[in-house]
Amino acid sequence: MKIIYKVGLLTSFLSLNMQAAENQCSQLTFEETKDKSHYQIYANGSNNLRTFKKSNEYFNPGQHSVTILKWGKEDWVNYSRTHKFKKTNRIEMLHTTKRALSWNQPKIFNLLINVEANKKYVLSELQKDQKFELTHMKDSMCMENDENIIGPDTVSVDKFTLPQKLQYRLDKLMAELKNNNENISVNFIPFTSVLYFGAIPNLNNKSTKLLAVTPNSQASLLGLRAGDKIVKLGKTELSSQQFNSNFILDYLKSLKINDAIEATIIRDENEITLKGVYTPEIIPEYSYSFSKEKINEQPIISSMNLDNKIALKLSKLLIEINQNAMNQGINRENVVISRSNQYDGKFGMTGNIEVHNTQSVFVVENVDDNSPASRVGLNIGDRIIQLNNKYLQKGIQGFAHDLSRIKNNDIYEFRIVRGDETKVLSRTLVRNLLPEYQFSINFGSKERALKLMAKYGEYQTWKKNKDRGRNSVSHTSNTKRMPSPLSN
Amino acid sequence: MNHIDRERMLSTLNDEEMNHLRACPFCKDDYDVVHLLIEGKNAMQLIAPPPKVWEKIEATRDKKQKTRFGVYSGLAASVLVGFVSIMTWKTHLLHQDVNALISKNTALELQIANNEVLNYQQAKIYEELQLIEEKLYLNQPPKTQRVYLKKRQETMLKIIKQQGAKYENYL
Repeated sequence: MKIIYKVGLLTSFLSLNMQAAENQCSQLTFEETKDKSHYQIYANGSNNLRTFKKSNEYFNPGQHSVTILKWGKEDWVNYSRTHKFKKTNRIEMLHTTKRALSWNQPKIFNLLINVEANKKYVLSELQKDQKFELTHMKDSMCMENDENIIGPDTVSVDKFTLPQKLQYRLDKLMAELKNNNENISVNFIPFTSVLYFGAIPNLNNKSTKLLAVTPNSQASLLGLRAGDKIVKLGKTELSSQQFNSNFILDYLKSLKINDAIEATIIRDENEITLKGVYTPEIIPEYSYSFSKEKINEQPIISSMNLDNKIALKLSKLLIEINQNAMNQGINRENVVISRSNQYDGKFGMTGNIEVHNTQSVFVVENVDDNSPASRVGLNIGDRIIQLNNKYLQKGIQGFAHDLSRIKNNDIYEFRIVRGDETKVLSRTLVRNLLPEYQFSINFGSKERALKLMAKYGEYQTWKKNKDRGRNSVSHTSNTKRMPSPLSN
Repeated sequence: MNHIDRERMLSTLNDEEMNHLRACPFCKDDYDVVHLLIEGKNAMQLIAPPPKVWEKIEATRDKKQKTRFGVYSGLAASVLVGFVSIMTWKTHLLHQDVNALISKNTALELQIANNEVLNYQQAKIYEELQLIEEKLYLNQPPKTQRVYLKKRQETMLKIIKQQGAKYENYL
């Protein structure tokens, strides 16, 4: 009996250890600084909005995004006295005290951390530097149950091939990004939801009549057209007497993802009701690096604000890349696109081949700034008749092929007709250099974002917290600063 | 000769007065203002006044305090009526222009289908379109709206021209 008891104990001990060994997680502790600050930490890697409840948190190995709110101690006290907290530690606007207390908003830091299995880390803020570091302390066996471990296993796909056109656009954008933000060599941008709806009302006239509807936008998919007068959105009647310039945004704010959208409009004196589903576009988390060190080998990446125009271009490109990835069956994975230094193969001009007196001529329609085409002196309207003393081949493909064969530092010559004059433009070809970079996209974050947004209350809290850091490092502000109809 | 009395300007002028009018820019401006209003009132047809008219209106306001109230208040009222009429008509024409442009924009919007992967140059045109729309969204006066709607129309035409092109024409 004694033996059976001992064997039983040993078996259960071994099975417990085996169960623990099956789990691969890492332990993270947050270390507060000694200054007068209070921190709230949100791990966005889970399907739920989750705060650090205790001193330690457990993550699946891989990359995880984390948001930190740094409060002044006094501000935090005033804030927490004004708000009541649920047991889950989620902030709810349940109760407001009669005393008016004021507080300054916390600073927001978005981080991407990279943790390995069975290791213990400490996350801490560098004194006064407002930067965070992740320190590996020691190896530590994972003893946690699955439900306590944050974040799904990240599946990394290193070989992700973009179609040539998308790849070139990304290359060009990364070159622009590098030139405009020389001091940022590594960056991480958390997911954002695009609230751009695409309907542009006539605010000057205080009218709900639309001046324009962006092609392929949500508004256009709903069936709205320029010239339509919106008289009702959902259950809200719109009147010019009580005109609210944010009427579309206010309506969208009241919607959850996948809610029905309903708009009643007047078109050609007829009243029409348009119906659709609210599906805002999600830009997945992404990070990039211009340094030699690979993104997934960097322990921590802090999020820095991007130039608004570039952020917008990147967002639009990512929507297209995301569509392409879905077509390839990639929608949960973390993909990395790596590019080495290379010359830009384009001359930087658009135009068309026309035939003049049986001879092919390339008519220049546009010339990019800072391109070989602009450097050689081509202008809009020029007609290229010869390249290196040879008449152009028929068809644009032949001309494109001949251009691509000119090597860097070769001297080349265009014979052109400008007005009535024939000119020869000659120059040494100096192609632009496209930078070496890595670009990582976490498509899985999109799914997490959608789930979070479906939980309306939690999403609103998350968003509100993000909004507080508008002037610090939150990328959400990039989308928000868009002077677009429905950004906020 | 002294300046022509403004009340006289409402009647047919004699030769001496006509000669003075030709030589005196001050009286000529007054005459233009008065007759613009008369023509406008009689024919119900508004014409664009010469630029100096508006300067004159300003000047008239200043002078009004120094001169007899009766005549000038009548003139000022007439000027105001004329001004409002002209502005109303101009605004009406402007709104007609804007509405015509909106209709053209609608027709073009419907022709744009973004089903293909865009090349760099096409994406740039879409960016151009977005910038125009952002400006259009700002609280712009109708004159500026007209400019941006026209630009938007041209940009959408560029997009439509490139749609379905067999070969990329960005070299």
